[in-house]
Amino acid sequence: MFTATLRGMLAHKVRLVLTVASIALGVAFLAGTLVLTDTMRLAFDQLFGKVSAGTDAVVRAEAAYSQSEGISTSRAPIPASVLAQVQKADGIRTAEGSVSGYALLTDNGGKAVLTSGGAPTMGYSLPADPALRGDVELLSGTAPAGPRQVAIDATSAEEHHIALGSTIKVLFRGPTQEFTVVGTVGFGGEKNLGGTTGAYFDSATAQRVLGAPGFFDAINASADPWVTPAALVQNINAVLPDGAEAVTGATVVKESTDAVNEDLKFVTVLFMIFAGIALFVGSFIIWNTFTMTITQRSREIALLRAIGATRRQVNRSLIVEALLLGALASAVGIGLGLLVAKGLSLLMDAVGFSLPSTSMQVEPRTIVVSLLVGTLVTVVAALVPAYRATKVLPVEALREAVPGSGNRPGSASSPVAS
Amino acid sequence: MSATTSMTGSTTTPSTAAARAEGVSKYYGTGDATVVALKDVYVSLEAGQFTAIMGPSGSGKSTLLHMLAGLDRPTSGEVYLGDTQVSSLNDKALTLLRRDQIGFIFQSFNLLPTMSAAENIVLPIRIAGRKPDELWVKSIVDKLGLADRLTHRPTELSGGQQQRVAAARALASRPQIVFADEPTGALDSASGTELLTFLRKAVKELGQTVVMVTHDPTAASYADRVLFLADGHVVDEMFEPTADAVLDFMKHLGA
Repeated sequence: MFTATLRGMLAHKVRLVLTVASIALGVAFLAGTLVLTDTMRLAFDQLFGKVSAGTDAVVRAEAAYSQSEGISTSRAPIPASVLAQVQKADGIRTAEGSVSGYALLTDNGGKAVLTSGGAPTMGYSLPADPALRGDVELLSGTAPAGPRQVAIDATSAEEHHIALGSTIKVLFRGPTQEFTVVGTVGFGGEKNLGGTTGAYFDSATAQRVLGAPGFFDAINASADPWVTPAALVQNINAVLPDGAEAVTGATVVKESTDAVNEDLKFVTVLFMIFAGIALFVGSFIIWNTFTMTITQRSREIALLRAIGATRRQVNRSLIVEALLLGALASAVGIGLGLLVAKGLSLLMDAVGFSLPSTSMQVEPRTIVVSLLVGTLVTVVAALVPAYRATKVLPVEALREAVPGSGNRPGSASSPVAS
Repeated sequence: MSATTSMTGSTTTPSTAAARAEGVSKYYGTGDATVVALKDVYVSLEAGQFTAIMGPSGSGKSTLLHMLAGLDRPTSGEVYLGDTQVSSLNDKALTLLRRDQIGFIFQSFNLLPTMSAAENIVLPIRIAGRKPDELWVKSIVDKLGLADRLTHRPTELSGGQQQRVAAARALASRPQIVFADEPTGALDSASGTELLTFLRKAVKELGQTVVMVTHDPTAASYADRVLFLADGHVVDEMFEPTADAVLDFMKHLGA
């Protein structure tokens, strides 16, 4: 029976391809979504991890609301005077204030360096201590020092032909100012950060142009090698004034990651709806195909019943066929899903939202879920047709289709042939 | 030759009958649209005999075959296969009975196109989940001259070869009884003769019981006994028939 099933499937290649395609499409969406979200999640994890690598503790103003919302939580700035207190904490190796804010670069001709896809244009303080820079690295030139120097992201420099030593205008919330470009910055191998443009200043300049003099957004601290981040946080909290808190770098990463994951949920849900619709439609195609198959094969099924296949065997052979078909389609779908994920990430790249690069993440869960869902949908869609197949009567094998045989019931001719 | 409708009734004992129909009737449809296919038929088919069932179209000969072979159930009456009362069996038991006790040869061969000749031959045995008796299968294959055709697909075989594969399939599981429904109907006369000769041999040399529905007097002449049906009744029978005698009788019936 099993061989018959397998041969039967392979004998109808076009039908096989079409039915496989109908399920594979849905599975591709499903697998693609899972792969893409896993990839994005990991990419952001890595990104936030890299950005804050070397930062063992972060001092920040306590959030106004007890419910933390990660990076989107707006916090009050911290007075620069806190930095001096933090630096006195036990086990601290170094601590620096950080400031970030709106900064729009212009090229040598004075035209704004715009981003596509709504990525922000940002200005940052570049820590003096390389350990606190995370994966921000100088690709060329020197770190900015003094009120007239800036380092910019390598993408902006390349695409807009802004050479080292040239003078550009940078737009802030406050008045526009001119800076000499002294360096270009990269991010752990990438030349920009998710499509954003970046302007980097020394700490004092950043305070003046991005925030407010005498205030930091946060203070990043690095521990002595023998001190754990948790211990450092404890030590810092002991010396902090009211209204400020110290947390580990890992905590900040987790908060940021959680916030991004929350945003990614929307993407996931959207694609899952696509996958659901595709699978729903696919199940109807399977249902229809199996119904047709059974009509076409009713003679064959009748024969099998006549020579001794039980209803259960007929039913089971069709379920097995659906199972094989579903598994095959799911496998194809998973392959397609990788392409879908790749395509979507290229699409996002094309609109300027380059994701932090990481290889496609194919979790075992993705494979298992896709296989299960694709196979299950196929089998469920085939249940009713397979049940109908068991109603094919064995006698139908004898209803002759040979022309001129004249022994069909109700046939008019009465041949007494020799 | 005279019509002896009653003689096949109760004279035979169950022990020598491979299959029996006792008062079997079959109606199709209901009410005014009711079609009577068989009316109160009594037949007993001897084990080790080659029986042909003949009759004009609509005489009920195919219906009778369906009943005897457990492919369909009578509206009333009893069918016995050996000592098994077929009408008391549920669908599964009936299916297993067909699988293990009955071999079928159909007019249009009914081979699975996706399988080789060899695979088709052992299909009923495979369905039963058993291993074929290699020696037995080989002896049948040799008798049918199919040894060099075993790897071929049905589409690569002539009609005669396909029907011989079907015959091998019918005999492969050593059934109690082989039912053939117009086995030569789709064959040229040479292939038909070949098949009938084989069936004759199977009865004579292997002691196989064969029941064949046919409208071909020549085919019927290979049988030990011919039953004539008309309008749902067994109207007569003939032993050691010749083609001419059968043809004469059929002309008489058709008139």
